[in-house]
Order: sequence, then structure tokens, then C-alpha cells
Amino acid sequence: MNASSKPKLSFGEYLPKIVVAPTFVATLIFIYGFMLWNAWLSFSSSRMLPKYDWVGLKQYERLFANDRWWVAAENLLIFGVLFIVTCLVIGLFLAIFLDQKVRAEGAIRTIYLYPMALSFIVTGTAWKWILNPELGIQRMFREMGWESFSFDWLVNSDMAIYTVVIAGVWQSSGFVMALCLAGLRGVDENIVKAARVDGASMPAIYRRIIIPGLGPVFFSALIVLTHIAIKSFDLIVALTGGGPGYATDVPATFMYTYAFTRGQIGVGSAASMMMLMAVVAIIVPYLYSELREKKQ
Amino acid sequence: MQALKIQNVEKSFGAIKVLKGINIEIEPGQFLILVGPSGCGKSTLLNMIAGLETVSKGDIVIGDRTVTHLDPKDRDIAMVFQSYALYPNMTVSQNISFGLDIAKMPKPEQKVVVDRVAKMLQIEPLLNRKPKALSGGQRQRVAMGRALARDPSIYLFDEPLSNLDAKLRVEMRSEIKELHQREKTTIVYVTHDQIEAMTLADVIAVMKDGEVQQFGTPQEIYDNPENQFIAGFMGSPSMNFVPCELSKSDDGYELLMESAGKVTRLLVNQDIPGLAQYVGRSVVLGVRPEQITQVSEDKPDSMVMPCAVEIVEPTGPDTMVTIRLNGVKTVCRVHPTAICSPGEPMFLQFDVTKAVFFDPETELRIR
Ligand SMILES: Nc1ncnc2c1ncn2[C@@H]1O[C@H](COP(=O)(O)OP(=O)(O)OP(=O)(O)O)[C@@H](O)[C@H]1O
Ligand SMILES: [Mg+2]
Repeated sequence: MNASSKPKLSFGEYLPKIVVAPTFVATLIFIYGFMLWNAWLSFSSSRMLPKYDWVGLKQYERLFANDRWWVAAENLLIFGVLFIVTCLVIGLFLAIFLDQKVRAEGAIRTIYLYPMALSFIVTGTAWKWILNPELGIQRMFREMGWESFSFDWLVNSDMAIYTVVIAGVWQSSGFVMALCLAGLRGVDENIVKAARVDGASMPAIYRRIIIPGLGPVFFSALIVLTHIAIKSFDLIVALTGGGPGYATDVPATFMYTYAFTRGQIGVGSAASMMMLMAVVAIIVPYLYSELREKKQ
Repeated sequence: MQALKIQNVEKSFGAIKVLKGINIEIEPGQFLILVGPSGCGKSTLLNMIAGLETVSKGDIVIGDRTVTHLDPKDRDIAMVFQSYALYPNMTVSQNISFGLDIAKMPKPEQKVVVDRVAKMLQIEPLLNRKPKALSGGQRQRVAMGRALARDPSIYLFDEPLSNLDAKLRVEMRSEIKELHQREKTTIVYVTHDQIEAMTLADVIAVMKDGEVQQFGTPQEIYDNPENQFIAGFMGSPSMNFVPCELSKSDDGYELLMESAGKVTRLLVNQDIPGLAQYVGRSVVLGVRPEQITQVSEDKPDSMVMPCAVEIVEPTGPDTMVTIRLNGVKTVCRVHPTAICSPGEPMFLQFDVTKAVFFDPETELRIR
């Protein structure tokens, strides 16, 4: 009895460690291990199959000489900026609107937040149908009698990237709304009363007192939206498939195409290293500021 | 011309009537205090004066303008809140000048005002700090500074001192009083602290259940309460209410007082015509602690009776002695040197010249 009760005690002590150990090991191998592996491949001459030689920055040179990569990078910039800014603006306005003590606020909130529950694949597919000239909006207006109506952004290589923005904003602005609403609800109502007595109109109160106080909320939303934008892959695959041609390629779809369908593992790895750098450049300052605040 | 007139003002939230016809008038430069127990509608009335709540019925007149349905910004008022309500993203000086900025005053003039106010309230070193970096008392000053900068015709205060600790509260109280005397401002001030009401006010409106129970100077309200509620609410420790039998005597009325098994006849040497119809019945005697003291020679009008001491509570200058009169606990204010220990009998002197009487049923003053 004595002998068996002693290990039992230490088992209890070790239990938390034992429970998290598998996930810890899995994270170590499947995330950080594969990152390192990918980094190594980006310095090798791998094509169809991984090779473990060393060619220095050759794959990066090939990547930067590739027009399609620059299209992808430019698309990411357009998509990222428009997606983030529009989400923040729409989310903020929805939150302000809901904060005016509207009736059925709970129901409206759920409606706006609901797209968040869908995967980007569903969003992409739904918007593909809505924006398809033969099936969606264009056809609807033409059947209603507006014969010359034309809305063909989805198949127009100059405009297709903006359809991605529309679908992305539709999905994510509800999330920004929820964050902003929580922030607005935290404002002391006496502050609003004081500002009214001071003579400020409601728009002025929002502009000069309430919205500046939402800084931390915007910052969190910005971080989340930015990494959604950089990682965006499924939305584009489902909505445009990177097309027409490669007009809506982004780095993630570019990487996938090169690494897995065109037998250019080296270039693909180099592209994914570039994406990793972009994410790190955003996340690290964020973590740094968060951790520093915790310490204080 | 009155600085503020509140005429038959009513307020309902849905079916609940919170204010039931309030009438108050004050002169320019007067310090009005609205005092009453929690939930009696003080803040609601103040918010209606400010224009932050709509008026269900009646009129509010500030100076010579009827402002009943005007926006807060058009009423020429400033308000100080219990939670201070400073703008968290602005510095102290921006907080003070916000109202001026909204009114489009040029920046150099704003600076002059901010400097003057900061000097008056001694917050010059804090001007560039954010509210987060201030103590409670400092925030309180900034909130007052914000009101002072606007130089309105009426200042409204909603329990401005109740978030401060006891010592700071007394300090700020006298500062507000000083400020009022110096600047001759018109102030409406809400509190549920009757000491604040007594010390600050020129006039007090005692409220209860959405009605003004009595309106008058602090001394009037202290000496001549209209009913038992007001008598008990104003003064600390509060007035004692002793039920006793009233009878007629040769030169006035007599009260039957029992303490420690001994019955004494207390002579009422006041001329109160209303008492006539209570002869042979019970009345409530209202007597303040300072009217029952140790026996001293220089009060010819008072009565002396023996009482049993139950509790002794020294406060420093005076000692509160609890005795039992006609079965109710009664607090007396006795000089510390005259005190005896609990359980012992003690002779106490009753000064009934200022005592008041209430009807036991209606609790109204008998006059
Ligand atoms: N928006 C509202 N809707 C419904 N009832 C309200 C509302 N605001 C206040 N009341 C009610 O009106 C009454 C008076 O409230 P008020 O805030 O004026 O009290 P008060 O005298 O300031 O009390 P306190 O000393 O606690 O601040 C209370 O019974 C309160 O419940
Ligand atoms: Mg209140």
C-alpha cells in the first residue's frame, strides 16, 4: 500500500505536465520543426521532390524575378489595406448604430456576427454565385428589365481582387463590430452627459472622446485582421481560384501552386518564408507590447 | 429676478411617478441643496435642470428664459458628477478647455481661462497629466475646474464629494464653500449627507418620495422641522422621539416621563396652541441630544430629572449618553467631566424651550 501510494502522489503532481506534453511535442514538431524544414528547403535546389543541398539565395532570386509573385504581392497589399480599413470602418459604424439603444439589438447583433460562424470556403462559394454575371446580381437586374446592367468584376481581371475584398469584409466586419460594441459599452455614461453639458453634439462626442478611447480595441482588431489577410487562401480558392488567369493570386495561393502543382518546392518555400516574415513583423511587436503591459 | 425657478415639475418613468410636482425658487448667488434619502429623485431633478432628462410636466426657468425643452448646451449651466466623468483621453488642461473649444473660443483665450482656473484650484502642476494619473481628490478638483472654466449662470453638483475619504471630504467641502462665497455663484447641489447640507447651503430642499417636504434655510429646517421625517433626517446624532402623555397644568402643559422606574412631570413652557386638543392623549416629543445635558445652574427654564444611563460614547468634546425615556432609547449630549458609568442613575437637565411635538399618527408637527 505504502509503496503504491507514493508514486500516485507524484503522478498527481505530474499529471498537468503529462497532459500538455503531447500537444507540446506536436507543436514543437509540426509547427516549429516544419518551419525550420521549410526554411532549409528554401535554400535548396528542390523541385518536384525535396532535396537537401545548399544553393544559397538562388530560390529567392528566382522568386523575385517572377512576375506572378509581384502580382500576388501587390494583390495582397490591395486586398489587405482595403479589407482591413473597410472592416474597421463598417464595424465601427455598425457598433455605433447598435449603441443607440435600437430595438431588437440582440437579433441585429446576431445577424451581423453570423458570417463569422461560416468558413471562408462557404463565404467564397456563396459570393461566387452572387457575383457571377450569369447567376447573380447582374442577371437579377437584367431580368427585372434593366437590360444594359453590367456587373462583371468577378471575371474582369482588373476588378476581380475587389470582389475578394467585398466577400472578406462581409465575413469579418461583424467581428470588428462586436469588439467595438464591447468597447462602447464600457464608456461611462456620465462622460457622455458631461460632454453634452459642455455643449458637444453627439458626433463631436464620438469623434473627440469615445472613438479615441477605443484605441486598444482598434489595435486588437487590426492585429487579427492583418493576419487573416496575410494568410487568406481559402477565400480566394473558393471565390476566384486565383483567376481570371492569375489576376487574384495572393502569396498563399502562389506558394501552393508552385510548391504542390508546378513542382517548384524551392520557390514555394521561399514564398512561404516571405509570408512568415510578414506575419512575424506584425505579431512580434504586438506580443512585445502585450507582455510588457502584463508585467507592469 | 430669480436665478432658477422650478414650477410644478413632474417626472414619470413609464407608469412610475418619480417626481410629484416640485416647486423651488432661488435667488442669484444662492447655494441650494437638495437633500433626501436614496431614491427620492434628487439626481433626476438635477438632470432635468441640466436638460439630460426630459420634463414630463411643469416648467424650468433659468434667469429669464424658460428652458424646459432646451438642449443642455443652450441652458448656460455646468455640472460636476459624482464619478467626476473626466474625459480619459484628454489631459487635465484639455478637459478644462473642452467646453470652450466646443464653443469655438480662440486658443490663446482658452489658455488664459485654463490658467486662471488652475490657479484658483491649485492644480497648475497637473495640467499636462491624464485623469488616470490623478488621485480622487485631484480628479474632483479637475471636474470642478471644468465647470468653473465655462462660467455658467448655474452650477449643478451631483454628490461631488461622496467618492472621497472622510478627511478629504471635509477639506473639499470648505473649499467649495469658500469658492461660492468668493465667486458669488448660483449652485444647486445634491447630497444625501445632511452635514454637507447644513454646512454648505443657503437654502435646503428636503425631499422624500419625489416631493419637497420642506424648503428653507438650514437653521429654519433644523429648528422648525415640518414633520417627524425631516426632524429625524437633519442633525447628527438625530433628534430623539419620545412618546408621552400630555396633561394640563396650572401654567401650561405637563408631560409624563418615566425613566429607571421613576415618573417625572416635565413642564412645557412654550406657547403651542395646537397642543390643546391633545390633552389626555399621547404626543411625540422631539428633543435633540444637545437639549438634554448635565445639570448646570445657568438655565432657569429647564427641568431636571433622574435617568438611568445605558450606554456612554465619548466623541471628544462631548460624550453621547444613551438613557431610556418612556421605553425608548434617548441620546443626550453631556460634557465629559460630568459623566457617570453605565447602569448608574444620573440627573439630566431638559431644555424644553426648543422641543417640538408631533402627532403620533400623521407625524406632522403640532403648532
Ligand atoms: N431611467 C429610469 N427608469 C426608471 N426609473 C428610474 C430611472 N432613473 C431613475 N429611476 C427611479 O427614480 C427614482 C429616483 O432616482 P434618483 O436617481 O433621482 O434618486 P436619488 O435621489 O438621486 O438617489 P441616490 O441618493 O441614491 O442617488 C428611483 O426610484 C429610481 O429607481
Ligand atoms: Mg443620485
